[in-house]
Amino acid sequence: MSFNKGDFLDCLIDSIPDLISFKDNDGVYQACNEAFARFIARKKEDVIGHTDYDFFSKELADFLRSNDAKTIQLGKAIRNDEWVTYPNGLRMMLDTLKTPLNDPKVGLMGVLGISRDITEKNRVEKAYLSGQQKISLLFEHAPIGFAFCNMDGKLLEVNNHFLAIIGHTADEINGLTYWELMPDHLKDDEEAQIQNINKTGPYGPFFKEYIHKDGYFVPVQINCFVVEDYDGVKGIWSVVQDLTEQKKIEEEVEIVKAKAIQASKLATLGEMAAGVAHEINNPLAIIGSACTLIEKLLAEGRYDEIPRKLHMIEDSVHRTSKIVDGLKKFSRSAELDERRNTSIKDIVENSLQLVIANFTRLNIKLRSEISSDALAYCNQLEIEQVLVNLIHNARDAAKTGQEKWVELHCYDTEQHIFVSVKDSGAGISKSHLNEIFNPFFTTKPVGEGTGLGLSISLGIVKDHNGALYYEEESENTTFVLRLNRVG
Amino acid sequence: MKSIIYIDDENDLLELFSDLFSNDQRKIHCFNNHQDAISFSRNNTVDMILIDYRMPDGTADQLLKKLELSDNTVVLMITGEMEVDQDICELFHGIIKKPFTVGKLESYLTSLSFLARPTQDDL
Repeated sequence: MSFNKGDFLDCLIDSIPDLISFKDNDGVYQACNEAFARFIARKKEDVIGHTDYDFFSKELADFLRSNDAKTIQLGKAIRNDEWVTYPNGLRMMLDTLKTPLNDPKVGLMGVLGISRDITEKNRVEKAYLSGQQKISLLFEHAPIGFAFCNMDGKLLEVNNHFLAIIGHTADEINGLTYWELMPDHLKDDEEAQIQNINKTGPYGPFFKEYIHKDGYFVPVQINCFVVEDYDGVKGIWSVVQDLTEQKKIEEEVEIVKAKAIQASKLATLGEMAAGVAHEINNPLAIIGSACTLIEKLLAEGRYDEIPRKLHMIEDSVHRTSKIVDGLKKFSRSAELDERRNTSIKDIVENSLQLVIANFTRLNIKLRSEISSDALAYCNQLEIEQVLVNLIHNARDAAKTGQEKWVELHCYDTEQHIFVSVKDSGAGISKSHLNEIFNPFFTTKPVGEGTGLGLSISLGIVKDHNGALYYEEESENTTFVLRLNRVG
Repeated sequence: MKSIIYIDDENDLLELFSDLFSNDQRKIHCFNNHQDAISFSRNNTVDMILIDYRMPDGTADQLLKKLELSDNTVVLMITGEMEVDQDICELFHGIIKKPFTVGKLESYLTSLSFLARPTQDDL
């Protein structure tokens, strides 16, 4: 088989995806490849002998011819990117190389054009640049810190917000390591976490503190992304959220919550004041009378009668101090108490001791059945406050009825401890059921209830992962406190 | 001999009251429940009666309605309460607040002619 060099070149040129054409000095096409013919929707043989004006708009043809003229004038190849609209309406960007073609014998023969479709490449480049610009803008202006460090902790790239969080300037970051930002008490945890990072991907969130340049600690939430470059070198991107403001708000909320609990407690103490006064005034009357009587007995020499009167004084002092102790304990801010495992029996008994005076005064029977001494992990004072509140509500509901009673029942299951408080009152109207736990909702007469008791109680119980609910199925008004049992 | 009744559910106070205020001129009768006082009032003349305002079996005004007393009986309420309704106070000749001073109470008992209607300010 013979090898035809001309056929080979034709075949080679036709197989090239770039558009190749050759125009003579008059701008008449003398040759083109298949790709060129395809793009102008002509057959190869229909191209030859025609000019740009036969295929393109006058505007585009003028433009193409002026580029040809420029090439010829300069006598060297020129390259330019140009948007071209083809006869079929297809618009594309071409990277075109135009070269003046010279023959040593006849001189300039025309212009050889090779064009490559770079529409997609151009779009991708633009999109990439636009994306890069966006990322760069976001990186520098995002209200969140970004930091990249190698696995040794050396900070390699950070944004403005990260600098603001740690109080350093961009220059000061050079040579700074992540470890220098980490308080000593967190370093062990940090090391352990880094050792556990064994694959790329997201880690966190972690709640930590950074050391600000001025020396104070900045609370932060960090989400990490471990990345690996093509050489297998790992690094960590950290997305850092400054929690200073959030912590401040949380602390303020805690303070407001504690104040509300304390205010509610003081309101409860106010309600108890009448009963407490009665309970204290009686022993005081005994003490005062016994003292006067002892003076009389001493004067009359009736010494053998004195010990009994002294015993009365002692009993009365003990009785009064018990009441005062109970009040002192109850009025103390629960913030001062830590949560610990506490017997529900102690909680219920303390609560009953605090409220009993009011029940005696109002001739309301207060019955209790404590059949559990299970432990709950709780703040004792807070749970006592919840119970006192429930018992007082029950007392207020019961005091107007014919039968006047309040019943407490304390029992447990495998996982929970329950204290139900039931009263002989008229019950809660269905229309009020959705509102009873709302702050400031009360059905008591003006001046008798703050409307905060149940909402604060519910807050306390939820804080203990417990529940406080109204038992609709019960014949009488019944509220149930549920706490998680320990052990 | 004057007859004085004191009704209170504080037994120690009843005993002390009797020890302090009994003398040749007056006989003190103490009761720790309403029913015994009512029975006593049916069969005896009473010159003065002191009733604790709140007791397990009722309030002083409730007991007062059940007692059979002459118009001359001086009726006093004794109470450890911080406040008692003015309407109820009006039913008594005097209100004695706990803790009372023995001297003041003695003056009440000595002056059986005490008949001024009290107000809350007297409490």
